[in-house]
Amino acid sequence: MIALVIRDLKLAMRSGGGFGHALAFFFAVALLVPLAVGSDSAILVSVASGMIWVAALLASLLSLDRLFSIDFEDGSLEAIAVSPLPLEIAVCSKICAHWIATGLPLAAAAPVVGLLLHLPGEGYFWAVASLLVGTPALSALGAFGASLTAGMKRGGLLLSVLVVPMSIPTLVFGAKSIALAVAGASNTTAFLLLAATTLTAVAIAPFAAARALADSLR
Amino acid sequence: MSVWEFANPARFVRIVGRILAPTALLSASLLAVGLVWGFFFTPPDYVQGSAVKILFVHVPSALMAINAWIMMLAASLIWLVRRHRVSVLAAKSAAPVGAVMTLAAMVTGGIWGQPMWGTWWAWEPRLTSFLILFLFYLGYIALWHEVDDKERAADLTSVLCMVGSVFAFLSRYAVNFWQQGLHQGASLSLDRDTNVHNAYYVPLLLCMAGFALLFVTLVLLRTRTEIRKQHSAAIAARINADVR
Amino acid sequence: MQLRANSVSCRRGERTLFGDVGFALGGGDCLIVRGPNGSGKTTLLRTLAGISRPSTGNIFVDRDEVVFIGHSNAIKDQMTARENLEFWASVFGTADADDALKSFNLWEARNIRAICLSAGQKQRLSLSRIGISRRKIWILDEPTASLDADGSAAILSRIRSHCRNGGIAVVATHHEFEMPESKKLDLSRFQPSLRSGVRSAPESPQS
Repeated sequence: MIALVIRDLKLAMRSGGGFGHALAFFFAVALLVPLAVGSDSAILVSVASGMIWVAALLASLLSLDRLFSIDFEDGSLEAIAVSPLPLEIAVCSKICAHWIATGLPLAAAAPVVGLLLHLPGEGYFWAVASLLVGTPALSALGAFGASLTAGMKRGGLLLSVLVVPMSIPTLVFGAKSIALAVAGASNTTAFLLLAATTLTAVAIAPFAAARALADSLR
Repeated sequence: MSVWEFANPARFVRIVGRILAPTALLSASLLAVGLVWGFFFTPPDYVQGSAVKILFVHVPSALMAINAWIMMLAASLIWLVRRHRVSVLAAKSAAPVGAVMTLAAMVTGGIWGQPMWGTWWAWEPRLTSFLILFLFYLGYIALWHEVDDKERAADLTSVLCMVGSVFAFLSRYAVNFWQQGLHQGASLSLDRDTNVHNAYYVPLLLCMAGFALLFVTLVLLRTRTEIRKQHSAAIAARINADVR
Repeated sequence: MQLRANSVSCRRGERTLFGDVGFALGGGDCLIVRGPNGSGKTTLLRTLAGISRPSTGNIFVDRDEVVFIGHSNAIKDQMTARENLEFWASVFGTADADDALKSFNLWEARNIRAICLSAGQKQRLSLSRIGISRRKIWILDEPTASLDADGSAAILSRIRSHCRNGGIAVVATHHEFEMPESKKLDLSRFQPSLRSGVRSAPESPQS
């Protein structure tokens, strides 16, 4: 399992900017927000916590397209299906690798984006914390979506249509965790619900995705 | 007769041929009576005036929007466990009907909301949930469209329907939580139990039954069409192979 | 150890590729699968390997002994030959990457990124998974594709010695295979005869 995670990370680095692209997109969206809604600090403060999560969701979504389809096309998936490695475990490895390559950098970059969007001081800790806890769900749900579209020539847009609705609970609880902290209220409930959503996604996704991949190989 | 007898496509088509006309007729008459009664022979609400009468379309379509998804979930589960083709084709057929019901619920909600709340669309938990449900329907339908192989499409959409259900359910609670925090929703939320006047009760029930039967009729019809499409595709493949 | 197919038929979409294929292989047997393009060789092999499911019929095989090398080579271009094999070695829980590199004549090329390897080298790299897996039932789809005469002869003798040591091999190929001791299965004889709706009579593979 670890071998697959390491291989994927290696491939992400060597194919040029596996880590970089999602991060760059994260900043690009953060740049679009003030350009679209105006640079007025009051407006930015009111949207900052939400926009951090929207940007993170989009950045995570963007990097999913090739999660399984490369392995599907070059026969790696088929070879794994006839190996001692269960597909469920292979999916788990993929989720881990995707999270390390996108979720982790996004969480690390959140304070900088927060700064650009005039996020009040109380929000920084929770921006990082909520992204750390919430992005595994995005990776897991994304892996499920990617498994459904693995056999398609152009699955990118469909993938987003499938994954976005499923990511809504994570987005709501994640953005709430920051917003409530900024407003000075207790965000414990929101944060725990965010963690619960992640656990649900991580528990379901490997089995559903493995099933879908086995179907696509058939 | 066991329920599983329906699983035989040929028998299903035969049974549908027999019951389609009666269900269609019953649905039409229930809707006609319910809607005419509801629109013309009930008193206007003392707060909302006659605008309230859109509830005779709004409530049944909202009900069927959710029930259609639940039916798809059950049918997908049956396909994954027992691999009855009719079951998954019924789920496929129900999706566009459910999506239209969801759309109808949102549109009638907007028409109702305009005079009541002064806006066509409010980010109210119920309406928002329906928008999310609509997205789930679109994703399910799109996946059916994109996968060429029928068997694979059936498997993938069924898995999507099951996982999607979990997160659609979670979204409902997430949206409630989200609204609660933004502002007090009491002025915008409609508690239907207290709104439904006794005079509306019977025509509303008739409309609900009419919508439910309309849904059943459409799903039966569409499922039969799907079965016939598969038959004709199989025949076409055989003819092609013969020519070859 | 055995690999048994019991009146297996496979479909692609609406089209039946072949019907009623049956054979039984034991230790030491080699089965050569032939047939024109589109007769379902790849589908049969994928079905034997457990990736696809047969439309009807059964396959009896110990899945933990199967190794499958398909058309797609499962090679990552951005990694070196050795890194590719080390990955598969850890998946199969063996440590034979270097041995496999040597025995498939890839030792010189071990530190070259796979994208720079020739088609023949890539094919050998892909085939070296059978060495790494240490499994006994080889299912090979066109193993001699893009190999030169020497390479083909080498893989052929490898298959032969594998069978002599009690292994099982199923090989799909267009080319003449100089293996007199192998069984043969011609898929074109298992095409469904469409006009009558009755499938052609099953024939057991001849020795």
